[in-house]
Amino acid sequence: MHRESVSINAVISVVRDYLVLVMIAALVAITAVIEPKFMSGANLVNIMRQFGPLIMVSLGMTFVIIGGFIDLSVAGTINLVAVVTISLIQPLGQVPALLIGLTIGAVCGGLNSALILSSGALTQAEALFITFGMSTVYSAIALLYSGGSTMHFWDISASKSVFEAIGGGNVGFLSVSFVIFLVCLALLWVFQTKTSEGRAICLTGGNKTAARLAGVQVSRAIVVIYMICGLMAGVGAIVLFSRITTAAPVIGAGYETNAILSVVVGGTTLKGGKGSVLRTVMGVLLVILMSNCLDLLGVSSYLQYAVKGAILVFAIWLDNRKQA
Amino acid sequence: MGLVGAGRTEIVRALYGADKVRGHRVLIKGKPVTIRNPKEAKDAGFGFIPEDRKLQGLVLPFSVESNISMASISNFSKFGFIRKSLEKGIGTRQVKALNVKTPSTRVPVRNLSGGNQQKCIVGRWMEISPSIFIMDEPTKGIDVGAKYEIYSLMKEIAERGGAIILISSELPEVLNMSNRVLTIFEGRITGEFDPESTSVDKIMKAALGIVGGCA
Repeated sequence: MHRESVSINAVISVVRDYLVLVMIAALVAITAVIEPKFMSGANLVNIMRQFGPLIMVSLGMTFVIIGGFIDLSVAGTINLVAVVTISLIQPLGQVPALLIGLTIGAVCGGLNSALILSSGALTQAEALFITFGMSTVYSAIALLYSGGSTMHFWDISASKSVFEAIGGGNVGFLSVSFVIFLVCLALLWVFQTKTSEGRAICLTGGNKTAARLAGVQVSRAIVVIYMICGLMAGVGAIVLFSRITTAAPVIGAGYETNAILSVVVGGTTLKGGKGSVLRTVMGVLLVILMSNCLDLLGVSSYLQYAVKGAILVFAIWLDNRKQA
Repeated sequence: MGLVGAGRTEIVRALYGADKVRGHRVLIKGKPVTIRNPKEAKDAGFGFIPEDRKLQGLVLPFSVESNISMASISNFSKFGFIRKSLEKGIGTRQVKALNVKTPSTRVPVRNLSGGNQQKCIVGRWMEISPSIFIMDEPTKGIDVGAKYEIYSLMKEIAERGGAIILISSELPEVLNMSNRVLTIFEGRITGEFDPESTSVDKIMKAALGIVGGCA
């Protein structure tokens, strides 16, 4: 009986992993037939570029979701990091600006976890509202700081070569942002699967009460997941404004939902405990390809929102069915 | 010993640092220790089997192995990295030592029977051999065979010099397993007894709050 249920679970999980890949393949095939422009070099480069910011944010979000929580504040964090970093390039130079930007990201995440821990809001729903509130706060700070105005690269007379490289440079045949993605992915994958802190995060997501009573440092795991998420939102913000060479205080809007969508579609369960950054890569790929296909097929962006929402709901439905 | 709801669980949870308490002092072998959370309790030599196996004890979808290795992660990690082979060793050793019936250490602990699940929790703590082992209703809802095995384990721990704080509402269990019985009623200790020399009647009365006393 044990053996049987194990094999059924194994089959289901294989099918589910496979499903994302099948959906990606089907999407590519169908769109390539209907719209030949899809496979053009220019479009593929475009896809690779879009991949950049969203994958960074989603990798960080994966940890929060594996830990059994959620973070809606990434949009606000991106707004704040983008406007502050771009404004500091002129007075401080580009490397200090970059480091301060990343620090702000991590601090925003740390602040989220501090609020969650000090208020004892240990359910996903409470964390949802706290981070939603903090997103508004971070966005408001970004608006106040920038006075609501958009900052452009061409306003900066100091050297901005690092950001220009992140935005459009290449290492061999790969874009710099893709190399940054590969490095982040490798580091985070090792952290998640090979370290005891990564294990503590999984155990916390699996059952916080049991983990805590077994002496696992649940509070520390919560701080770590939110700081990783904030830091990766910071990385995402820098990749994003470097690519579009401007930073508006509303630049991050929509990233929280797209990141959560990518993580869940990739197959990381919202219930916590199980998931992987590798799955998230597939999830992001699917989400980006889907927007790209819908764009090419001339589907209105209003309808695209509906499609994305429906897919998120379907992914959660599937996940619940599997566990029932 | 006491009725469900008498405050037994609350007392040991406070002792173990699972809940916040105002004004308490924990002495181990006469030395005061600070315990603010379960991690510090674990480091001070405590082990803890919670009342609710499924909600507080296990991470049900996780493997037998990772449930057993939960408390001893630092024992098989180096520089923060988990050494898989050592973890596997811990899982296999405890499954063998406690006679846990499972097809492998990799199946989800959810698939096991109640008794075998409980043995996984015991095994988790055996790996770090706690000097004070708190067991809150450890035999609740498990079959006779597993019950007996858990009793023999308790004897083994005690023979090795470990102390066990057993919480139970089953009088025979309390009488057979204890050297010292404390009765709790409405959050207060109402009596201390030697199970060898005290009548069952006296212990029951103290547990029900009818009369206090010492023997």
